[in-house]
Amino acid sequence: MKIIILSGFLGSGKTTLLMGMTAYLSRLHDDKAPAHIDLAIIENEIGAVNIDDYALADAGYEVFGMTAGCICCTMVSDLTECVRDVSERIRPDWLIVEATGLAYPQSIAKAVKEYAGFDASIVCIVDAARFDAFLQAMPPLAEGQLAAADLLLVNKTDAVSSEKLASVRRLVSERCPDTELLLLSMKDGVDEAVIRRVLYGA
Amino acid sequence: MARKLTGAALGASKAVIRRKTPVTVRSHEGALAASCTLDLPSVPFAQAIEQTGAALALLAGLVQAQGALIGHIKAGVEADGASAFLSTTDGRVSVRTAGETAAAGCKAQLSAIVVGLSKEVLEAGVQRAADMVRTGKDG
Repeated sequence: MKIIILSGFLGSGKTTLLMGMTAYLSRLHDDKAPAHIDLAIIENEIGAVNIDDYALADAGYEVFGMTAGCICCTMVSDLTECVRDVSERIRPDWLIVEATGLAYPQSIAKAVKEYAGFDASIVCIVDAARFDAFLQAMPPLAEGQLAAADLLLVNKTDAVSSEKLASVRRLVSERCPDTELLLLSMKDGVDEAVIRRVLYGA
Repeated sequence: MARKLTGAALGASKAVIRRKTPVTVRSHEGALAASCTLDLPSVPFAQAIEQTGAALALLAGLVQAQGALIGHIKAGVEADGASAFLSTTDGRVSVRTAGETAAAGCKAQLSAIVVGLSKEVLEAGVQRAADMVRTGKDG
């Protein structure tokens, strides 16, 4: 089971990417036996209700919702117990952990490794239109999310000028010079090449 | 024996008595997350989506007017065999729906995460948005 943590600030496009991934896998494995589950999802929400369940449940995948807390700190034991349970009972090819936009993904990866025994890769989605505001409002969190990433996706390139995009790219690259960075827009769907890069690492 | 006080007994006129929606507010990393659940027993699905979209835009405007940062503002509307997902980060509300139903009776959930706003202001804003989801009117 490969674990992928989707991180990035609120509204950056984590759920949109996740829905693109579920749709892609559904198309890819139309002929697969129904008993085989290729993807399981853990969905975290700080607030008392998890709205994303509405959207993700429609994709036909079982979603393990964790609400009213953060899996990087207050819900670590719930997270690791769920990871162990999924790995033993469901055995999917992938377990996608969608973190809340207020989470430190490195803490999630560390907990998953220490308490469930799995390595996890971290994908961080950056909202090109609002990254500077995020960085200004919550610098430690913004820096922490970038620093932990194995792959950076700068999203909403359609919503900003070329000057602003260059500025965001520079801000991100300065902080993570060795991390692969892709520019994209998910406004009209998620590019399959991006989905394959996230799922297969190539 | 305890006496149950109604809004009217407390001095409110009938016109201003409103059902208050329970709003939960949590803080994390300096941000506030507020949420609430509403039962809309007599509101048709399409109308509920429309009213919820207007409520999200209203709440986004209130947050922005205070100079605060919207993390996200989201809502889900669920009816018999149909659901809708609404969200905004800047006042422009996107809507995704799955299924349709003409039957009245929906359940809606609102969630807002913001940075740079007091708990009281956020709670009041979500309350105002919840009223709009319920009635289709602001105030």
